[in-house]
Amino acid sequence: MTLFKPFAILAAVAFTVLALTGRGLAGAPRFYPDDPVWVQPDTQDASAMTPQEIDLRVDVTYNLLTGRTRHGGRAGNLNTVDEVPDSSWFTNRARLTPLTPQRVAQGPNTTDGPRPGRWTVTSTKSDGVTPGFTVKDGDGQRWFLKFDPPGYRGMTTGTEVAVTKLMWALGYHVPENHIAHLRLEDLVIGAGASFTPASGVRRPMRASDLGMLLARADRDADGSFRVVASKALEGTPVGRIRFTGTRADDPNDLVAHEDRRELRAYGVFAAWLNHVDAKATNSLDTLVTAGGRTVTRHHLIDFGSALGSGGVAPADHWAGAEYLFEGRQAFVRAATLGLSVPAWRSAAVFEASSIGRLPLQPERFDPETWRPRVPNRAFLQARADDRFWAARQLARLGRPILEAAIRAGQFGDPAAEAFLLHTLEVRRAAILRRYLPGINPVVDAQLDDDALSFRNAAVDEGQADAPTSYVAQWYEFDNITRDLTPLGTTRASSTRVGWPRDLAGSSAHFVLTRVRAEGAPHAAWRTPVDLYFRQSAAGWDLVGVDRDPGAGR
Amino acid sequence: MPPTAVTAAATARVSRASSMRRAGVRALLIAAALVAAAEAGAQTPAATPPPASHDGETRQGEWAGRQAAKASDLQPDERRGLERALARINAAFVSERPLHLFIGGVLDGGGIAVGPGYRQALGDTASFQAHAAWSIRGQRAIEARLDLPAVAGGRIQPWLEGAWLAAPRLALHGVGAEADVRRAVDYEHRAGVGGVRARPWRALSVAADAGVFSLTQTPADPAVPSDVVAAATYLRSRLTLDVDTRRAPRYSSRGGRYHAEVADYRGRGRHDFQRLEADVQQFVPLRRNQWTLAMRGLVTTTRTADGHSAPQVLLPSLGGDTLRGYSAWRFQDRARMLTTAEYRWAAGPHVDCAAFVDAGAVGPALGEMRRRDIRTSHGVGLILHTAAAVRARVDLARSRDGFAFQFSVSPTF
Repeated sequence: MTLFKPFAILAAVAFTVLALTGRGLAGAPRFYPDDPVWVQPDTQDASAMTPQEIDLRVDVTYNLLTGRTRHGGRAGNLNTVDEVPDSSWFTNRARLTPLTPQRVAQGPNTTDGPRPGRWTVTSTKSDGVTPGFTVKDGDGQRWFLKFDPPGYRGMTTGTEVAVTKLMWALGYHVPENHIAHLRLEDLVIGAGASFTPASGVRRPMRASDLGMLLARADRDADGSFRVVASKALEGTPVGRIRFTGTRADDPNDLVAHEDRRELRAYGVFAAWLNHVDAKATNSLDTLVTAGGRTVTRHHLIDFGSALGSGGVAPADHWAGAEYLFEGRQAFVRAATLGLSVPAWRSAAVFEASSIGRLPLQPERFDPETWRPRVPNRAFLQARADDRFWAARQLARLGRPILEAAIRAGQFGDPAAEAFLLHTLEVRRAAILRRYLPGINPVVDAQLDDDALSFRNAAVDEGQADAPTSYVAQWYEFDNITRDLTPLGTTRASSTRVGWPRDLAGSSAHFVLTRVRAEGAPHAAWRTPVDLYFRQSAAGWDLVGVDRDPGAGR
Repeated sequence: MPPTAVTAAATARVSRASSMRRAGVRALLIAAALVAAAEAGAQTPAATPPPASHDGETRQGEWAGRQAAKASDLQPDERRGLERALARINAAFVSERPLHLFIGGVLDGGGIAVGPGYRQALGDTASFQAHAAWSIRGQRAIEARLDLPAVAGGRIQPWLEGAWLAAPRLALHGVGAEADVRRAVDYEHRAGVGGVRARPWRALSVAADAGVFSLTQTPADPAVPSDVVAAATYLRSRLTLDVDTRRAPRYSSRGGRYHAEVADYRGRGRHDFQRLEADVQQFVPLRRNQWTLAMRGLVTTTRTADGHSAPQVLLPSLGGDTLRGYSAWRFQDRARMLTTAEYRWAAGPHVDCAAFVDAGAVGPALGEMRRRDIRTSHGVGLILHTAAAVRARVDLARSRDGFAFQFSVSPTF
């Protein structure tokens, strides 16, 4: 009996190993010939998708009840070099063409805005504090018009446009938003135009409805109204972006949304822009025709509650500081009879009718403690490598680009615009400072004839001191069996580390080099980044990057 | 081998064989568990999915293969679990559908009431609402209201209302500050009223209504002698004036409400009376609404002609949501006075806590109230609210009668 048990266990282990390695042996190579891919195309027709709407109350309640930090795995939509390929969700705007202020100012725009002249109103919205119209311009193009709340000229409309530009620059699909102006006499009620009053009973629109609605909008001294004109998105709406799971009726939607890196990183960008309303109902999926088939395109929309704007009023004092409800916090404050006062209650603020309300000291901004109004499952799933990626995207948006975006908002208040620029710069710096050094920041690796060279993203952005040295462990890598054959270890005090002696004489097709820092100001840098290179006729091509978040998840 | 030895050896073999089988089973279980764990690991959402290569040679092919596999097995996009449950609750309780579940109250002290409700918007400003409700204490009501189309740019709104209400075993306590005998009354009323409300400015509204109001109140226990028997049919008319500077009438941390009301109950019997009431509420926010001081003063008097008396149920009362440490209808008389001071502190953007003190008295007239008639209660409350409305409030209050618990889906004041 005592002899049998070890045998049985050994047999079990052997069976297990065989079962596992058998699958590995029969599996695919670690790297395919087309790795790293930079496009994840939608290859299946999605025209059978049925429109779905998300109820705001259900969405908010669900996320408040379930939204807690989770430690998910690595993002699921990455290419082999740890980047996000272009897809129906995201476009690497800066990969092939550098971002310039001119490009960002143009953003998603394909027109100069609605054609001036008579605009035909086809429908209105009267819920909420400020009105909204759907109009067709002289070219028959459909636009959604939104206004500033009375007394806050530029706040909502300017914020919408400026944030749209920045979110476009960061890679998201966003609507084409323009600042435009209209007079009541420019509006013509279209045949069949409907109006839905507060009672909810839709009826044919009357001329008096327009005047009544516009009475709730900010009006210029000359009687005109400043609007943000949002061009109707291409395609047929089929729903919103849920920040968890996939859509069962979309054949191209393979990766759980909370595991999409661009959606995890959206949380970092939302923190930067104080976009507290980053929720499902502020997104839109449309069915479009691309490549001869019908596919879904995923858009982020409605940025009116961002920066200092709360949409219908200046941003709440608590915007970005806490969720709508946090049980533990509520308990502590209840138990202390209100003597536990959150910092935002007493924080000084900058207030201007043109941009709304922002903390006077953006230096106190901490992206780790920033909160949208409602927990977002994708934001909560973000790991150190996702945040690092987000920070690198942000690093590309320099001051001229920020200036261009703010200028596009046409806030018309130089002092407020200067403060907005200052705020964005300081908050961006806080994000870079927090997330670039939070993981081994070796990037842009290249392998030439005698050395590995790379950049240290945190050091290059001035967010950390350089380490004493870098250590590279070299291996020959078998792309099928994943076996590693050691080739040696080299080190250097710069970001150029020489080859090991054994590599020169090797016939390896794939090389793995594990790079870590020594004498680094951050412990996370001691966790190596795995860099895979494949030999080609032109030399060595980077085909793989594994960045272990380690303790910095 | 003695039989016992054979048996022992056989037992040993059986035992060993059994042990071997157990070990084998355990080994297989371990193996299965390890493989299952590996499979589970491979299936975690964030892990790299097992390759299902389309062309077997490229990443794009693998990706396309996975999409093709999903395309061959598409499912309707349906919510599951908690999200589905919330959607159902939303549809049943919160949505704006015409037929809905009414949740509210019937009469003070009746507890929460539920029942079918119906609402229908009629044009821009007109609407019809009706509900039937049963409270947890057996009170029943059917109410319907028709808001007619508003005129003068929405500033004037006429309306019609009809109601039937029955409150069996309504717990009254007699009239006067010293009354302490609990007497159950079966109460019922019917009303058919029409009125108009004018709002010349946002903060000012004037309303008037008139209609027929009839009631009966009889002792719930005929064996107990009682003087509460009354049946009356009134032509009731009311005039109210409101100045309201609160940010929203159903939840506010700033501004005030200043309300005055005159009501005349005129009938054929000997129960005619007039009632005058003034209600002042003030809210003072401190430190960006971290704290709010909420104060209220309420005064009500009843006038009757000689030989007339108001039915007890229609006399001003204290208790319930007016003197929260006491049960509803605890004190009644022809006049009442109430002051409330409440300290509210924010526990979150949409959660407030409150500590309060209520003090009130009833008497035959305001000038005849005595210091010793004043009753007090104090307690704490929890308020869940949106920016414009209280969604739920619970209060726990202490008084000479003990503890009282109040729950409501509207602001106490």
